[in-house]
Amino acid sequence: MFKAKVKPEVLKELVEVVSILVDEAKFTVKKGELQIKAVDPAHVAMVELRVDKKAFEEYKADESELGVNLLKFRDVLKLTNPGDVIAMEHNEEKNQLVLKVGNITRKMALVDTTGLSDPKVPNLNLPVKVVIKAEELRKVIKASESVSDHIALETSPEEFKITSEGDNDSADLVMSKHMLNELDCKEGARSLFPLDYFSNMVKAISTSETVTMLMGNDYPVKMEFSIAGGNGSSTYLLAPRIEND
Amino acid sequence: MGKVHFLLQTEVEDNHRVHHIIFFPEFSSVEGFIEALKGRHSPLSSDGRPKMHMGGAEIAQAALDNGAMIGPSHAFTPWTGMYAHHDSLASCYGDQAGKVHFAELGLSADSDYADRIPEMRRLAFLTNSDAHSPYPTRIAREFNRIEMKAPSFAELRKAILHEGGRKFVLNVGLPPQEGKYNESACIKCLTHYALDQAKALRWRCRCGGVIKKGVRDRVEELSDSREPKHPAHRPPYLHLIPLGEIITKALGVANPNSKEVDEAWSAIVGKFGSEVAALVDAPINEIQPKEVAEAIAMFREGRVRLIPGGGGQYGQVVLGDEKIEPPKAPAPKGQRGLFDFR
Repeated sequence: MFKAKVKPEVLKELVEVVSILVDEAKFTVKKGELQIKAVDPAHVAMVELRVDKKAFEEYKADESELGVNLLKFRDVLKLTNPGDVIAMEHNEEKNQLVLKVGNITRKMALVDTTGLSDPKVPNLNLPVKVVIKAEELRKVIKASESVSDHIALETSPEEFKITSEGDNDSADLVMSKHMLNELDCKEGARSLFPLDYFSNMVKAISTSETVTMLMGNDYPVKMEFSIAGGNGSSTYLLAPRIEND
Repeated sequence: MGKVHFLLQTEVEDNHRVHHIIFFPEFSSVEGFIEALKGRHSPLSSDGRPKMHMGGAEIAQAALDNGAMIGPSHAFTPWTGMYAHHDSLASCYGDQAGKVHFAELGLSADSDYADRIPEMRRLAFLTNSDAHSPYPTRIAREFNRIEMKAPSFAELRKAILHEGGRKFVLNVGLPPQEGKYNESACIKCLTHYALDQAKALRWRCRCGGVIKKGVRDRVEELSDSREPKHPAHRPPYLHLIPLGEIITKALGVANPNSKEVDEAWSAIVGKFGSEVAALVDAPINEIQPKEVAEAIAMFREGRVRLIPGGGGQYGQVVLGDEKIEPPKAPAPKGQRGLFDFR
């Protein structure tokens, strides 16, 4: 059983965070929260997300799994206006998610969850921690998009640097320790990432003011941020490109 | 140059990055068109393919109001072709779509491809070469044969509209497989993908690069039949491999723009009058050197295989039983997967 009411902005944020990686996702409904875990088809990036029942106006659930087509879900959310509340109910018999927005009822067929992957989150040792304002990341993404297709994240005990280098142009963000919310780095680390993935991830971080980035040397980056007005959290994992591979 | 006639023509890019060809009847028509644009374009005096700050419908309106003809350039090219950004002529040209009477096919498509799409069947197909580079393997590698009374805009217009007995009698072009975007492939590592595979991967290659949809797959999406349905006005399509490319293969040289190829090409074309005459009509025993004669014989006998292009890399021509290595991809920049770190 799953029955809930929620403000559309909570769902919009959730769909945005997940849909940059997959078109369909398994929503794991628990008694006290909703969880989503998905890996993109190329296995380059992963998202892990949980939204507490406190983020919902109403929330009643037993444990269940819903296979959701995020593109359809996004279309339903386009029907909403600020101040609306969406009512959702799982019709188990027909395997549908019934959504009510104002006077509109949209019955959405659910996807068979056996076809959706349940990725195992890699166990990573990420020794460097940087906490940075999301706005700073958005700015450097904007500056880098016309420069190159990859981006380097580099840390030293004193500063955090994001660099994008093309054949002729470059863009840098350099932030010393005191400009960051936190920098915990014993030894320098550097990893290179595909800019399109990184950029989509940063753009999907819409309400969290800060992002916690956990890194290593030639190692994946983990980006943690809050969602649903602090009543939920999300984590992106992105695999690196290895230079001179 | 005595037998070369020129037509007033331009290619422009619209605000969706779609390229259009425009044919003008006279200079006053060009001036009227420029005036109708009201300065919403990049500099016309220095930009070879000016960028218009307007959509296809508005450009078409400005061209048609001034007596010109307009149609999509290289309609299938996945970067700047009409079908890269639109699903139909109407989506691109709005209420002017019915007044579009031709489409340029581009290197990766032929009339068998284009006539699988219902809305294309009424159009005249142009198989035009470009003049981006002067090499024998590039310039005039595609062309049209048109029946007209005089080399003029008015006669071309009639041929495009199949009026008064004027018509396109032959389209000549590369086999579509030779084009750079025939199959869907990663633009970075050049791995080729089937349409279903690419969709499942959301057009992202394992190397981190973008998979560019190939013309063959785009046609598949837009077609209403597995086989082409040619209209009565459609001329035959002759697939030609540029003579320079055949010479390059025959002589075993790496660079088609080398002096060796250029000299052989000039000698053969000088002797037989044109590439087509050399490739199609010239007696094999009169072609020199003999390696090239043998290669042309293989071409005529259909003993030529093609390895489709994709992701920006031209397809490869393979003569006879020659064994070749699959295209070498540039080394990908080591994109790792998450599960490499378990």
